[in-house]
Amino acid sequence: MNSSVSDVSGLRLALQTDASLALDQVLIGGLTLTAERDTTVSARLNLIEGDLVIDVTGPTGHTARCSWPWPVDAMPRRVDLRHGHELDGSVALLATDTSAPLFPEPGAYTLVATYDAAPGITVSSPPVTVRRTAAAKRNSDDARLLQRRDVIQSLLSASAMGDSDDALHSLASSDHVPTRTLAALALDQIDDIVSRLEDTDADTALDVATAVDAVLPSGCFDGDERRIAIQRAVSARRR
Amino acid sequence: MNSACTCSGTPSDDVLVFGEDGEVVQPAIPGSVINRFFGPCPIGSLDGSWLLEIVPRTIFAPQVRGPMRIEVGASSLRVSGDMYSQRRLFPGQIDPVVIGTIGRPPIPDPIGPFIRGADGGQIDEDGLVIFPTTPPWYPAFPKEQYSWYFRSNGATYANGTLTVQIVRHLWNRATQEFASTDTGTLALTCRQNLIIVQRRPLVMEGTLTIGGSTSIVKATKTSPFYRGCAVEVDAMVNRSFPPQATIGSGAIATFKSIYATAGFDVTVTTNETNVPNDASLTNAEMSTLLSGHRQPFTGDDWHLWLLVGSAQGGLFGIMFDDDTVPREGAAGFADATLGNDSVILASARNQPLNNVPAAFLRTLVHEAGHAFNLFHPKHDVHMPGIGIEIMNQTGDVIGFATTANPYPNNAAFNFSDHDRTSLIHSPDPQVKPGWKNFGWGHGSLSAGLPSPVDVAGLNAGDTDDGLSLTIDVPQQAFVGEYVTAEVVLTNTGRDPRQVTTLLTLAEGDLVFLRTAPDGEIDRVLDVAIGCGPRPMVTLQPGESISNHVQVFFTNLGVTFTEPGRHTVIAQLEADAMTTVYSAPSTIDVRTAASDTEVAISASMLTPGVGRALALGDFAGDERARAVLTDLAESHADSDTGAASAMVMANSLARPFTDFRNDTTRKPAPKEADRFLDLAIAGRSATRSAALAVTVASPTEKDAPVVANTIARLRRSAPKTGARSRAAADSNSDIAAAERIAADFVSPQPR
Repeated sequence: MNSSVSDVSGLRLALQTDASLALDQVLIGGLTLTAERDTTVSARLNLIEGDLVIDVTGPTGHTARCSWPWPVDAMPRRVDLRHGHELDGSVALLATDTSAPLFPEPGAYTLVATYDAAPGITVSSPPVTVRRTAAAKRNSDDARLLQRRDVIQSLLSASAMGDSDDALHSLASSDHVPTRTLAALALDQIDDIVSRLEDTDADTALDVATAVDAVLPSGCFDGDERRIAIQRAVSARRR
Repeated sequence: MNSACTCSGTPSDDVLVFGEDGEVVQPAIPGSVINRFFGPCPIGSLDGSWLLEIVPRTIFAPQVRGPMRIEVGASSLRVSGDMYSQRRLFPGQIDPVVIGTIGRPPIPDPIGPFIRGADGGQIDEDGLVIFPTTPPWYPAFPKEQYSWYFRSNGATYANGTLTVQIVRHLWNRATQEFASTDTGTLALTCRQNLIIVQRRPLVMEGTLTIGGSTSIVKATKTSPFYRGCAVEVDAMVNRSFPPQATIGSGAIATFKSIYATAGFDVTVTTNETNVPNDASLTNAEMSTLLSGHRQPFTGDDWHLWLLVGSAQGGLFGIMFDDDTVPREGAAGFADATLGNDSVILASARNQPLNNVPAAFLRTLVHEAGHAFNLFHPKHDVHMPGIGIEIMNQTGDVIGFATTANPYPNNAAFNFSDHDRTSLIHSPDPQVKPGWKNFGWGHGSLSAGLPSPVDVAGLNAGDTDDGLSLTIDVPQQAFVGEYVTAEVVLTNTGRDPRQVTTLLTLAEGDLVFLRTAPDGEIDRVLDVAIGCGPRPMVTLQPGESISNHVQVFFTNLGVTFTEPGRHTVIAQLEADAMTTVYSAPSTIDVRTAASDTEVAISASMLTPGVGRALALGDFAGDERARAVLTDLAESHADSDTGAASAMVMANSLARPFTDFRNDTTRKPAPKEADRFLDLAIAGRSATRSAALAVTVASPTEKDAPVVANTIARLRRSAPKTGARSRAAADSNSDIAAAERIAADFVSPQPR
């Protein structure tokens, strides 16, 4: 699903997600900020650095905010966007700003992304709807695991928090690429992620790269050894 | 303050009136002098932290005390406080509080080591004499005793009497949220010798009127600051905590001095400087460092751990601790580098924070602010506005920098008024590290609601060491769905216990405390309340009794009509002296989603249907009968449909006489059997029995549906001699169903 909106600032923000995804799988969203004229914008198109939030309305009408659960201090990062050029980012649509599950039950959810693109300039995406369905894998406990606070925090922080080890190992065996990638990342199984990339297709490699970028975003985590290793493997696969 | 032309000649005789926001709303009014040498305290002397104690009326009264903060501004006066209550069960352990003689409790020094000055006073690390004789301290008590929070809603200070209209927010210990609000008046009188320098802490005495009663109170001043916290710093090798920094104005700032601008008394102790190097830190690694390097402490004083770490991506700092005991640790990243932008001070460009003390100090103070539950202004639900104060992200402060006034010189090394007020006056659960999660107070977590009670506050959440009560309710339900709960009481002690067998909502021993999404608390009981003797049973150690109850329709009507998260706590009078509470369980209630759910919901909310389900009989209500019949026949695959079928089976199995019009409904056993078949079909014996006992009124132990269900299940049991696994499972299921039915009549220890 893809939609975008034009803003008087000359910027368009679009949020893309799967139209439907089971609750035992982690939803990764894509973001695109498009310039309709030359402009300088914040390059922090990620959840971590605090310029981006995603507001979610659930099937019962309740609302929640998806933003990074841990408050951070960070430098501004800016980028010059030429007319027609885009800034891309990805987000893990997994938890609210308080580490609660973002999608607590099956049903249709409406998402709107809001981005502080520059001082005084905020752009929003048009709403997109994603339907979260019952677990894809029969007899799977993964949907329940993905509601656990320590598991949520582990997947987002790319590190195993609390008593999440067993849960992460279960999720790391998921058939769903983003889910198993984030779980393996949290378990520091970088070699496993890299070795799987050696015999995978381009689409899968892209899914891996997008999932990693959602929690170790470009610009902010460019020097992270895990990100470097995985990006190198993805690039090699693409060639 | 207006101190003009009084015969007293002392400004403190003036009458000052302050509004709900603490501002002066009435200027000074001349007062009079009672004694030329012994008079009202100057208003400025009230400013700071106090221990407020409510004098117990009897030796059995709860001990109620807590910190109170009085903020005296140039033209404002605000008061807030947090009260903690503790029941005193055994007279032998009572330490009565007597006005005028209470001493300082043995609370560990939260301010850290003091250097004694030449005049005998205390000198802090900045070299300031901060208290004439005794070190300041900050009353702190176990959070398990937290009872209520109050803040001023207008105040006067006249002739040494501070009169404060307070709004009280009562704390529900079980849900760990504020539950209700009421109002009252706190009046405290402060008089002191105007000639002789006071060497003892200032004391005020007076009354607190709230919840329909007036109590005697005493306040003892503990510090000119409002709150205090010990901050332990551990640094990774080759990184250092900036002890001070020269800021843009040319002044020297320290961690302590910045917090002092908010009346917050922090004492920084750099403990370790050789935390092993790790070039990149994850949140999990920092959590491990927190638990491994923080110095152990006891007591209830405020503690915070700060890590001077290496890096996490390009971040400057993070408050990484938001687990079950949250906000105890934060980190600043010494290796993160400032950019090369022209609006950054030339000497700081491309430098790691470790080399730019002002920038690094700002980040560390900022992260500690998150640990006190402060938000970035741009993320704060109160929308205070982005600026250059401490709680703004560095990125936002740099947004205000210019080449002429570059970062970090352009940063303000103080807190905004919004954050300062929060640090001073927000409730302890919000501010104290280790209590409510990040986001409570300025983020998306919140609470609040009303009902006047006495000064002990709400007492939910007390526990009995030897008994455990659990409640099992569905995690989710849609509005109109039939909801049941299982209650289990277990003897967890070493000795046998006599306990009530009345595990029903109909006899007064058991009640559910339900907190609705809007914060309202209700006592949930059955629609029919029976009275009679309390049958007791002996529970041996490890044994339990249990029962199933319906909570769809209760004294509240349909119990769960409000979508959102409901919290339910079971409260049981286990014996004449013992009340046991369960841990809270939550039910997320949503509106009906599918067509089937919508149809069920509409039927169940039909007048008369809920009552029929609660009583187990539609009685003479033909409309309810029709709806229940439709639910049973159309939706027997759901528990709601099955429960409806059970009501029909129960009703039709016996006669019913309506004495109002002298008519009798004859039993219809075949119809009753048909409905029973509908209820049981495709359902386990255990679930069938659970539904049967919840449908039957708790006061009707001989309700036919229970016995008939068990008889029907026995008829369908595998024949004697069957040895298959399925047969064994089925027999086991039926045996469990029989136990449920037996427990309905009289819970048996198992």
